[in-house]
Amino acid sequence: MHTANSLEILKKRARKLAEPLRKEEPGERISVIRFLLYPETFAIEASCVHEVFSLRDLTSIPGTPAFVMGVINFRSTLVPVVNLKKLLGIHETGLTEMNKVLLLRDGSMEFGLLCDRILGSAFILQKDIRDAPATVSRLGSELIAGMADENTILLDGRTLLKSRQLIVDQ
Amino acid sequence: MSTSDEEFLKELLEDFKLEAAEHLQVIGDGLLELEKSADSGGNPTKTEEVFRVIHSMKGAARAVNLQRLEQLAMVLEGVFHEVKNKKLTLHPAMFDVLYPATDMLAALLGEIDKPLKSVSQNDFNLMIGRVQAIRNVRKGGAEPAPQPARLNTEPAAGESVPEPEPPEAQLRPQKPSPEKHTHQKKEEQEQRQPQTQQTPSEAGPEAQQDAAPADFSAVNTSGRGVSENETVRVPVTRLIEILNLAEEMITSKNILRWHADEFGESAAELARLRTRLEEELTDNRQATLPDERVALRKTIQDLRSSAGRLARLSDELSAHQRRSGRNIDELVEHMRHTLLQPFSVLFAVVPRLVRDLSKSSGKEVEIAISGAETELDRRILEQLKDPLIHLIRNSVDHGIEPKAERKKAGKSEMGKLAVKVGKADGRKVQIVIEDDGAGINRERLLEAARKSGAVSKEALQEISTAEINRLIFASGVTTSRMITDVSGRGLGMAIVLEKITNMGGTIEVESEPGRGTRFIIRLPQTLATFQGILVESASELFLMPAQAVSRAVRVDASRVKTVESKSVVQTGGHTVALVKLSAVLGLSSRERKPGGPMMTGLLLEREGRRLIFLVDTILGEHEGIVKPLGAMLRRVKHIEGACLMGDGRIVPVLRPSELFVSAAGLGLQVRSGDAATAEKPEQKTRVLVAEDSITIRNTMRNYLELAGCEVTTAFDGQDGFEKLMTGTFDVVVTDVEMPRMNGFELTAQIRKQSALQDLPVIIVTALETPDDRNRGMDAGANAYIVKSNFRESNLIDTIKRLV
Repeated sequence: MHTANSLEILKKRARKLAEPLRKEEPGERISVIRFLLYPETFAIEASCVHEVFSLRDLTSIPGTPAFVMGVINFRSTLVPVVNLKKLLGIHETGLTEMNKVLLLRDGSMEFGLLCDRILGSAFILQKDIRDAPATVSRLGSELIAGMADENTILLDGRTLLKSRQLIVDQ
Repeated sequence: MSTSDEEFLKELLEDFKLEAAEHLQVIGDGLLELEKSADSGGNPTKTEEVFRVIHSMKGAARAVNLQRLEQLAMVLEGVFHEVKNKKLTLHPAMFDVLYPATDMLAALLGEIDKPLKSVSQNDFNLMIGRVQAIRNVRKGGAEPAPQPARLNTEPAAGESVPEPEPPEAQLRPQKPSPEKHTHQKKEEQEQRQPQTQQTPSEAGPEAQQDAAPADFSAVNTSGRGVSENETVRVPVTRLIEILNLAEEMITSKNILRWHADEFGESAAELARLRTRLEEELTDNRQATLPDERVALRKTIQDLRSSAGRLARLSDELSAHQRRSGRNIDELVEHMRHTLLQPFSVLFAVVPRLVRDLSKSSGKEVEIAISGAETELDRRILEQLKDPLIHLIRNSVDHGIEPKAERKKAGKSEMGKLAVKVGKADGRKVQIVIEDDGAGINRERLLEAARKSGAVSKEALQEISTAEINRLIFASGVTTSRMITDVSGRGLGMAIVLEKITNMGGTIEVESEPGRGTRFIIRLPQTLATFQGILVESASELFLMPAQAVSRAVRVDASRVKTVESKSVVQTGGHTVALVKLSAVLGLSSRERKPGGPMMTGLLLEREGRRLIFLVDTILGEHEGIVKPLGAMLRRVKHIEGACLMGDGRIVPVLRPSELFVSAAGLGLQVRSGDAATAEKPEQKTRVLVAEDSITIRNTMRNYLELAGCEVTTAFDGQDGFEKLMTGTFDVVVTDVEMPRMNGFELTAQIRKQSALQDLPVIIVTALETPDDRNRGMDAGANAYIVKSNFRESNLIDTIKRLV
């Protein structure tokens, strides 16, 4: 009896305090992973990133294009690893760490993206995405969705995963 | 419909699909047989079989409520019912309807999982009409059956049609077909048949009573224990999953072996250390006090027992590893045998193919297949499909002559093509594809081979018949004057050879002008576990498929001669060209080891050509699974895939066929320059690179090696220091941020060693603050280079300046 009573009180209070569900406009916020690929900072949709880990061992495969750094052993499966700088034509300014891997995956494609440092995850607003300046978009326009902020290049993860440019079929 | 009902229906559908696929195969085979015997008065046994199977399919389709399938099966059944009762005689023209009707049955079956219909209602109605028309042919349509009229109108509405003429009553008393026990599939199908007959509409109370004792006896059989012939129905996909898992264990086996070996070595090392300690203690009696000696003796005692225990554990581990290794091998072998499938699976398409090909080319070809029950690894069967189709197309297209030509040659107009499968020695299967056509045209083949460059003019002088015949497998050689989509591009045969050798098989060709051509393929019954020779070339590891390697060779550099700008050597009575594996793979710029007087290589033989691929070292053999390189690297030239080694390393597996092609492109130049550089040894700058990032480590190595340095790498400061203590170096290049011992600490350690006091140390770092620079200099570094301007700052120049 006592409990039934207090339950009623609690329910009342809950009703009183309850706020209507805040409606978010669909697609407004995008969850991204930010990473450093010296000297640029990039962001990529988190939904494309399956896992992030440190590069331990890398086997180069002779005869592959320059953007293919090699293959890694990811839980007994071989996964190719890509150097985005080579792909986007970013001038290599020296040696950077390049020892973190973002594993990108969709239903049919899977590869690792090498980077210098993972900067963490963040939300960006769709409306804040600006067109990339000509200097950036020249790099690989279809792979770049725009600028997430003034210093962060937003990659188009879906397009990257679907890109025929990456497929090596000799 | 409740969920459980839905699930039940789903299960039923799955069963139906499996069963119907088998039925379709029997129907397809049956039609071909019947077509053959159409002129000679028919084949009652086959008619019976086809009728029975179509009938079963109809009943089962009704049970799972697939109306269109049921309708089509029903009209087909009607046709065969009349054939069976001799009311209708099969005429060759009828098959032009019956084959497409069978195809439509397959298409309707394929619709089950799809949301959309692939067969339009219009096409469906037309087909029903065409099949019906077959029956109307009978007796000139004098006695039209009542059903066709009904069927022609009703299916359009998409309604289910009442059974026109239930043949069950006639069916039951019939004797089973004589082929009952030919193979498992048929047997299963027979066993299931009584059940499929019990579809709801026809299973009256009487029928159910009939069924009960039958079921009971089935229970009894299994109650007696598992009988020899008892089978279980398991989806092939599940078996493949199990096989994949079993094969994955081969990698586990390798890992286990590697660890067991490492463990054994460590245990042995500990035992050696203990012995040394004991000896040193005995030698240095004076240096130690009696008390210390007693304490040390005690420790040595403990060490001894602990080393003994480790040695025992190591032995046990090794024994266990060997036992489980054997079990894994056996498991894999058994699984592979479980997945053996009869050739008939593959042959299902063959007669149709020959029929279609001969129709389109205006030739008449009779195909005879034997040994279809021979069993083979299903993956080999899958791989064999294209080569087999190609060879058959080749025989019809190039082998068998047009009718007129055959007549002129005094042969029958009907060409003969035979495919014979049988067991061969050593658990192998032999496939013979034989035609009685014109045979290989020597002159045209030689001409084509010369044109494509597969063989030189000089070589043509002394070529043997066997070698000529083998030329048809060389890529680019085609004798067809016209390129059709069927054959004539000259690639096909090369691919056939490649596929067959990849599976560990061989292919030979025999031909007699005017009499015909015979291809003989020999294949292992199960796909063998990959065996490779592990080699090192340009400081990278590779696996060469063992079946491609004739033997490993040691070549004396002084015996290498240059013939027509090619390096050759005499071995085993042949003049064999030499080529560096690293050069073929495009790794030449990273060549490190100067060649000694003896060179190591692998002798490969292919299409009758021999070639030695020179490597730095042959490290041993490896057995395992070749994994694909990932979806992105769909196909990489020279590289088939990669194996995972026991220690987790990835080693690329080479594709010999492409190595041969690329080697030819290189002009096969191997300067005995290997020896030449060895004569004039230039002292290289020995650099130690300490760097924890593997990417930078490799980039630095390449960069420095390109500049002519000899590079040793260390993965952190500690590792670097250990390497410094055991080797001789001219300069150290180190990173700052590293685990265990950072670059500043390493520099300080180096300066503490009297022997290393003058060793130049270059710090390369991403850190850019003046503080860091000062810290580096304080520690005793000679130069400080910031990575971001690594190239500009010219590490090489700095090294040259300091050394």
